[in-house]
Amino acid sequence: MVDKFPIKIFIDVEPESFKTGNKKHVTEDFVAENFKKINWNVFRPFNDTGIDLVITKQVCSKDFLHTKYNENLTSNCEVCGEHSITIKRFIQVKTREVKQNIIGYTFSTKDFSTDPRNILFLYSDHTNDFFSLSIYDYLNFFYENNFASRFTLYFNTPDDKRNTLRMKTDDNSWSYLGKSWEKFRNILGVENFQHRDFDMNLKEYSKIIKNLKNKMFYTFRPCKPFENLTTTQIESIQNKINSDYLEKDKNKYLELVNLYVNKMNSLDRNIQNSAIKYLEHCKELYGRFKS
Amino acid sequence: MADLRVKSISYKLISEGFDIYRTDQQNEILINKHCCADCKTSWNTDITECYFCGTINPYLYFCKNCNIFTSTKGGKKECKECNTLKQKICFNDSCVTNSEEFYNIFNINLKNYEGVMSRESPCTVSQTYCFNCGSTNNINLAVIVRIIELNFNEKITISSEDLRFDYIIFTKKEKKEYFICKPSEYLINKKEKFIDKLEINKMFLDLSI
Repeated sequence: MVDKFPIKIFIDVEPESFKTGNKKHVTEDFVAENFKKINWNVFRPFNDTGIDLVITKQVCSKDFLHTKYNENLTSNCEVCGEHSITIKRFIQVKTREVKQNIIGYTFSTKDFSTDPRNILFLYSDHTNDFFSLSIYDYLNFFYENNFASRFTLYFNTPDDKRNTLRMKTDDNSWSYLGKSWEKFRNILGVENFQHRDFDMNLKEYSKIIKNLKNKMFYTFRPCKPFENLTTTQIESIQNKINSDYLEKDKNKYLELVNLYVNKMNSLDRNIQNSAIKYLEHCKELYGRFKS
Repeated sequence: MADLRVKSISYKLISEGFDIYRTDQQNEILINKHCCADCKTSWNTDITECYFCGTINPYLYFCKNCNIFTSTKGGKKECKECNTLKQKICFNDSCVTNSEEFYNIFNINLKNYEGVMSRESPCTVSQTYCFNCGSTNNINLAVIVRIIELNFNEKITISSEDLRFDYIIFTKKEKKEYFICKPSEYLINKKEKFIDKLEINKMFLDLSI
């Protein structure tokens, strides 16, 4: 059984040989092969999806700690004899080169599903380090450390680049704005997302993640194009966000869908057709247009 | 097992909106559906909404002068009636970005994008609620499936190794006939029925979350 993770699996080539334009395939393969080495089943996308790999393994159903990070149960648990269950993790890989001991990366809002099994995965190819955080842990890290302000209205803009994951060279440790990321690194990172009850309590975690997103994403702190807004204007916009979005329930959201469909149906047929082309793959919504 | 048939079935599922993942094993796939945690309707992260009020992006231009929406495809960025620049605004009249005080700030005064709902705007977010039931929770529903192509007159057999799969799809060589079963259930009831439809959605509806 392999007891080191990750290992330099492609012994004939150095990561430095690849540049931004041609490293995606090799780095994702590197991550996939490393997970195979520690006995995860690895699935790679056959079509273009937002997830780079899905990994699964059999673990003890009674106590997750009974199954080691590099172990896959083929029968009952050796510690307690209980049967095994399959756990799944959905991994999105971002490979970044360390520059001046810093890793920069960007996520967009589409990366923040409310599935706790989604893993945001950073691979520092030049130092051979993996950082893996479930969406829940990632958001919680920012929330608990009062870094929530780093999340508002910065998505899709260059300002969203996060340049604060830093390696300390004297003790080879990693931290984000001074808070340690060691528990998300390499073996500890895998243990951290493997030894969790996410699979058993999906809906509960999903709700918690949505609450964290609401608290962090929807506190209006304007970015550069809007930096001239006055405090009063910011307060007024925040109040509207609260009433128009945050304080809505399921039925109110459905009213928004109805508003959208009715207004779209009131437009000229050609204009409507051009707009709803973007929704073709969204069958339930697409089916509601008169065209 | 012909890899071609696994590919063929995989493409069929992709055409129906599922995501397919493959392992090193030729006849093993993982089918994933990103969906609402409450009603299992598909979740589409490519569709964007207004950050401020949650209204779905209309993907249209609007001319404030003439008060008309036009297509974003092929046309000019200027209104053909009044020649002023059009904007990609929020579709919701009562959204804060359409208010008198903020309309220009979010839609007109910005050099680098064409309004609050433009692709470059920081004010759009990926889908946040279900368009079918309004739930704000979304998850991945994934099943691990083995695909077995049966030769003419070949009988169904399930091995103990097959029990690790959530489902098995049996299909007949060169025929569009399918039988989907949970291996453990099949071992008990031994009932089989081939039909001419690949009812994958039914498989997902049966899954508990």
